[in-house]
Amino acid sequence: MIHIFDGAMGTMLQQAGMPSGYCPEAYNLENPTAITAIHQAYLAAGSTIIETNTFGANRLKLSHYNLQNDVEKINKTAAYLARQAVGTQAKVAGSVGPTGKLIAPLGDLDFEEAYQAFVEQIRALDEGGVDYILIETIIDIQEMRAALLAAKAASTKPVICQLTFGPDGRTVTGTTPAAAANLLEAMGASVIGANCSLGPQQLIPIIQELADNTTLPISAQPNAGMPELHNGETVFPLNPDAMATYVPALIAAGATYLGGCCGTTPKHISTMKTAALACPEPKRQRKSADISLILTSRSKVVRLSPKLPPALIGERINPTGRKLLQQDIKTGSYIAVKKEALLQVRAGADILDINMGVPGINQAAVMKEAVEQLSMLVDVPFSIDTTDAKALEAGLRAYPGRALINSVTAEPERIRDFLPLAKKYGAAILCLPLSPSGVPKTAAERLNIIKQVIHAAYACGLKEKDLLLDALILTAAAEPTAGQEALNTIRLYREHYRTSITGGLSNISYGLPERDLVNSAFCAMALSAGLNAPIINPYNVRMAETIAASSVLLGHDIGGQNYSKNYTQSLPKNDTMSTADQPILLQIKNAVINGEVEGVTSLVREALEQKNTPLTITDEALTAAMNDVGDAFGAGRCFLPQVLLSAETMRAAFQTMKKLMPNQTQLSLGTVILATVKGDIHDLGKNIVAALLENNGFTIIDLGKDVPAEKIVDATKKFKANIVGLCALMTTTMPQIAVTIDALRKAQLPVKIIIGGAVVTPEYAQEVGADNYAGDGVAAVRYAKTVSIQGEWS
Amino acid sequence: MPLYNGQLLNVSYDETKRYAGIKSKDHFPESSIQNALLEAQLLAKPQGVYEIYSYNELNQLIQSTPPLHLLGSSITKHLANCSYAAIIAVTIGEQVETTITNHFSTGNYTAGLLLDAAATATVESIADQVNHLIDSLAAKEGYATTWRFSPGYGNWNITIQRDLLTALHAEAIGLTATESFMLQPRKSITAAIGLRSKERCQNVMPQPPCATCAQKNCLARKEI
Repeated sequence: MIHIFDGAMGTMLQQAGMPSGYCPEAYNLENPTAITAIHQAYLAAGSTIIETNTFGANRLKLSHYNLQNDVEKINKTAAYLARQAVGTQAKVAGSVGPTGKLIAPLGDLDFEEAYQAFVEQIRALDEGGVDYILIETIIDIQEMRAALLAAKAASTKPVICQLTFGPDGRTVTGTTPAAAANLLEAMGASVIGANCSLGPQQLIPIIQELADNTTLPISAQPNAGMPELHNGETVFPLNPDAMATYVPALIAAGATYLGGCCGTTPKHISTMKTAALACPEPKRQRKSADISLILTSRSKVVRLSPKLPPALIGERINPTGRKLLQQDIKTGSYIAVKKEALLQVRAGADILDINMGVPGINQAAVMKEAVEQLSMLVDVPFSIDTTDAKALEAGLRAYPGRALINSVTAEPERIRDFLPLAKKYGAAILCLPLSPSGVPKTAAERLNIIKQVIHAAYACGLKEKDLLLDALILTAAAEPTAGQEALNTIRLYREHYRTSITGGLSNISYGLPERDLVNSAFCAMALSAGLNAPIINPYNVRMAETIAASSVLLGHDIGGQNYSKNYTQSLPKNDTMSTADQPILLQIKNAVINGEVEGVTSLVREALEQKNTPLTITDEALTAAMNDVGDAFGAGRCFLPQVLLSAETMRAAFQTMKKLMPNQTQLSLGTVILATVKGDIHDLGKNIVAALLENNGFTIIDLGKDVPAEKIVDATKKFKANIVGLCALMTTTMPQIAVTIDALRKAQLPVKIIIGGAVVTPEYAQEVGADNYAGDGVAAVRYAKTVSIQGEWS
Repeated sequence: MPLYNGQLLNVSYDETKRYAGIKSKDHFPESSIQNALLEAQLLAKPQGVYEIYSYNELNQLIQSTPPLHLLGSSITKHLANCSYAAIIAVTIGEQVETTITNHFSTGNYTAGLLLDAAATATVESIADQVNHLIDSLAAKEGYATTWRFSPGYGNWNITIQRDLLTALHAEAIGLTATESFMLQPRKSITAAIGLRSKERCQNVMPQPPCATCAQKNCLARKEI
């Protein structure tokens, strides 16, 4: 059956005489007849569901009109008016629009403040007698989650959830229809859909993607085409007949709730209804047979199924026994936590387990903070790993996706506390076969306990596709049968259930040497037995190799294509690398040219052992190398990071020589004062020049950034500098170069002046009396080497 | 002022290479670029603020408080035919900056340069996200948007910087301007985006290529 919503409210209100800039929701109180007339017009056009005039009737939006204390009155009145207008001829949907702010940390609105605002509005609509709660035009999934949770708390009416997608097929903050559909269905939405921003044609693929990802009914309320401006007015190009031509395609894509958003009128609704009635009853390709476990982040869907390649759960965000990570969490820095997240994702983790189990902290607050920060940083779904129900709820509430709960055991308090949270937040659960009577040894015992957990989960309203079964992997060194029983458990689960199977693989090797070897061997066996979502350390190379090879052997990597791509031997190094059969000075020179920072130390050591003096090494290897690099840079054959890498290598070489032959330290080629001039805080270029000059033998006095002329003059005198280098980035700060040069010249100091910076030109250098313009660090070095340092300061 | 802080999910590897002056055909140790990206993602604290105002083309005024009087033909040309202008300010905070300086002072020059480049890619990505939000708000009313134009581009005088930050209450995101109108923290962006009707946009060029820019020595100059 096709349900027909109404069309736009705002334009109808304007036609009814509402001045622009006026609060549309206030009209419920001030001009109820106008509202009733609009509802009746839509009813006459064929709407079967009428929306209340409450799109902006939440406390946050109403506060723009100083009406924040009238939330209840406005919403109840609006519900009453809609009901009065349509009687029993149509249903009434209570419209709930966005707050206009983004929820933290993406914006500055607190999740709880948004939630409370929605509870307040939805409660009033519910009490006013609406049949549905319609959450619409939402651009961020966190705001949708806040509103849906509020709807579930304040009402028992079915909830229709409509997001607004852009032409790129995502909401502004990055959520795809697939991610939204999976999450919102799990959270208990009754209808999922899209409205506003796009016209019917652009909405078709989005409706299709929603339909492919949920068994729930789909709603579509497009604008009357993409908005255009005519003489300063926003107009919508599709007339009622044109709009109706898209109805069959929208229905074929899966929509059974149809209506209109901006620019639609009762006439549009009328033609759309006529077109809908002519369509055959839609047949959705129901996906209920698919029992894959689907987890989502704000922007990504991860699917776990025995039929798919294994999904890897990264275990590294766990402070147990790791002092540095504990400290990072305790101090609230989260740098180490974030690093573990980014590196695990890079190493191939599909899901991140998050455990904040540090003794003596407020776990709930810390879990919320960690989940918020990490969800802005990585796009894989999270597994909230805790035994603390408060921390679990804090994590689930903050997470903009469908998370996994790690874990639910058969212990009564876990069943009592964790399962309702899974249902409320739409989370999946990792079922662990532990019971109050302890750790079950055999596979048969584990199956019995897991049955109890599953039974309780079903009783709580969870489904097969919400479950991930853990085989319970114990330590082989302590329990000789640990490996066998875990494998038997996996096989037994596989016989009884179609769900995905997991296990913490690292447990198996505890207390043994070469744990990686044991873990990866066991991983291969477990994958073969039917485990498909291993909890692992993703940095472990052996494990990664084992999983890649197992995927070929188990038929998940067809023809070994991925395997071949990743494990084909890398090409041999090119011949410009330093090689042992070259003379030692040439080896050092090549090491500097190639930026081999690690290798140069031992080469310099060897050269000194062969009785080369530091002077010879400097002249024939290091300086010669830097000259080559400088020439290559000047000719555009190499690039700045390579020059700096060479400078770093040279620095390492110098430091080695100083350490081994402290008495033969190099003579300085001269003293250079460097500064970014007053008012300017951009010092990247100056830092590069400093690095290159220093490693070409100059003594550097770096005065930093935002340096006044007097300070530069004083330092020049104090250090008897031979060269002063000045830079400025902007036209506003460049005049300070001239001011500084004037001061240096007035003080009659025997010093050469080099200037540079983004806006500085050779012409400007000449104009302000600089001795040299350097376009880059290499040019500065080249000039500096021509400056005589003999005698000027005597 | 509406806040939009953006996400750190997609800091571009290629853009980081470009800002570091590494051309696409060149080979450079991938791990050092990856480390810089990681460091930028760990240290960045993205924050952004924006607002859309009426724009009066006759007297080149963005009607904010204080109003922004646009000086320079580049910006007025950029906002030609616009009836609204969005202004934005984004920053990734001070910590990245401190770390870049530390790298240079401890002799890790390459890491310093690459982190500077990754930080630029990061702050650009945050500005892109705020820009994307403004594009969607504009499209909803039928407006097309111009590309993002910052003080200092062409001859748009950067003396506007302080008033622009005041209008956006950018102190809320910790962003200020120095006496010489430089943004602090350094890895920050302010910009104006024009809103005009689509038919008036048809003759307007998209963002011009690097080749038209006067900064011939720019490390990040795109290859043609």
